[in-house]
Amino acid sequence: MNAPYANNDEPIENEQQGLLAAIWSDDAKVIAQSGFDVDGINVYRRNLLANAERALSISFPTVFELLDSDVSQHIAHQFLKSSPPNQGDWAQWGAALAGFISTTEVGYEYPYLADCAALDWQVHCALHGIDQTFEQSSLQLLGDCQPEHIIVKFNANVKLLETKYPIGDIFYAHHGVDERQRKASLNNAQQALASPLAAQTVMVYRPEFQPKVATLMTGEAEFMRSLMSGQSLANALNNANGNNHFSFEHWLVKAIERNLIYTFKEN
Amino acid sequence: MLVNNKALLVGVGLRHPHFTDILTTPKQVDFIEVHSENFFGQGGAALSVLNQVREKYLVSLHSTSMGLGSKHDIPMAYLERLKNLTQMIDPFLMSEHACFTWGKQHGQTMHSGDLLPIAHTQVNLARMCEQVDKVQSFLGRELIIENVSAYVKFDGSYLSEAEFLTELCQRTGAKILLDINNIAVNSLNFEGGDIQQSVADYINVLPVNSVAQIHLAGCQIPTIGQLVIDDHARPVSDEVWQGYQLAIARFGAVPTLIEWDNDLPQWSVLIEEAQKARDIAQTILHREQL
Repeated sequence: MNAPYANNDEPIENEQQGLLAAIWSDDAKVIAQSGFDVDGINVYRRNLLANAERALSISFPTVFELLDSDVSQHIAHQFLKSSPPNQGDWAQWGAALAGFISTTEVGYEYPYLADCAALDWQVHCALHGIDQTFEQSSLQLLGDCQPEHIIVKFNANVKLLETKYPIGDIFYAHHGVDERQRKASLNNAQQALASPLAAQTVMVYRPEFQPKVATLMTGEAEFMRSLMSGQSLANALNNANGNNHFSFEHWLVKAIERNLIYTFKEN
Repeated sequence: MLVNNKALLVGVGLRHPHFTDILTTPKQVDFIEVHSENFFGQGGAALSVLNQVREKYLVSLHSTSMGLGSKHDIPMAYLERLKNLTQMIDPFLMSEHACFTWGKQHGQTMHSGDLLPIAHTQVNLARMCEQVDKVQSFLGRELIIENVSAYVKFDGSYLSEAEFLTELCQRTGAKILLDINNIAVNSLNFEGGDIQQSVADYINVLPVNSVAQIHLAGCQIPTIGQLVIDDHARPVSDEVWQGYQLAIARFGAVPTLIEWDNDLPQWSVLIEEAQKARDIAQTILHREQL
């Protein structure tokens, strides 16, 4: 059966919106009355859901490993309805999933799930982020300028997430490089979830092409937050100095190894 | 990038699981084709692989989301990304589908997530010409437009898809990407399933100089009574190979691509399919020369 209303002079918008409405509707009556072949509409509906699920499973691998397939399918379906793709690239669809999960029953039942989704999304974005390497010549500024006049531009793929759940360990429990790391991370995550929850900062960074995740110590987290908010090196050091474990020299060596810094700039 | 149009070029679609294969095996095809949207990121490993691949192979950018037949304008953010990629890769072919993808929901732009068919009418033809002109002008490149497989039809279509594409190309300077499997799928779903007849009817409408690329693919054949889904998950079927012979006989040495997007086989299987296309085309071309 063909769509009966798409006459020669039918405005394009009507026929196209009619087809979209039929595909996106969950109401069997709406589909049956759309005028389009129901079997055909159902093919598009299945394709849409399969594409959405596949896209989310790629962008949110941890979340999809944590959930049973029927739950993840349900979430994909509901998320599709609440935030339809609008960019023509499935890889760019999902920025709102973490917030969406926090409103769902499963998000309520597993309160760390939304933060896991937020971490997955940042890792996914870093995977496709701009390639940046440290401008080594800018190191000279550390010798030439006072810390009050130095600011740090971070690599665009460096992101900090605030959470009270062990999402770094949960991430590596699923994506660790080997069984040993995965088991150790799983143990850490289980212990942390069984203990009183404490605020922590998790960092996403990309040394080369593969993004990595690290849970930061308090001093380092404070230091990086200060720098990333545009404060001078002097202010950031002051903010971190309350923590005896923080050493700028150690941080600098590690930051260069991890490709955290894009450049030092004079303010 | 200039290409000798008299040489038969054969390529394969490149998907992520084959990245290592293409970088580590000797060159056995002339070009590779990628989905543009898979490389819309600003950097990362995939883009790095594509840049390495283009040093050795011609690259064709095949877009799947532009929706040239959409009533709604293609968002500029999408076109900017495509332009950036095009400038970086300098593809020898750029293609899209004769379909719509953009619409509105609650006043917001939405993407359909699929290639949705359009009614083949003069109104839609005018709209698609407008979009193709706009995109070609923005990118500074000629597009080639692919016929699509469909699972619903519009009563209002009074042009055949072949007539629609012919007129589109005459008005815009674009060329046609002839997907033989899509003709086969539509033949099975809507035209009684005489694939040879459907392909012959289709290609005989197209001017001989209008086709710039051919796609070959396979799909699962369902039980009787169900719609055939164009899943690109199987080897090219015998019927599609036969259709390919007809197309090469009519259009000559047109760049030909093996598309395989799901349930990917070993790289070597893909290469064998490409070699089969080359052998078939060369046999036909040799015969035509005699």
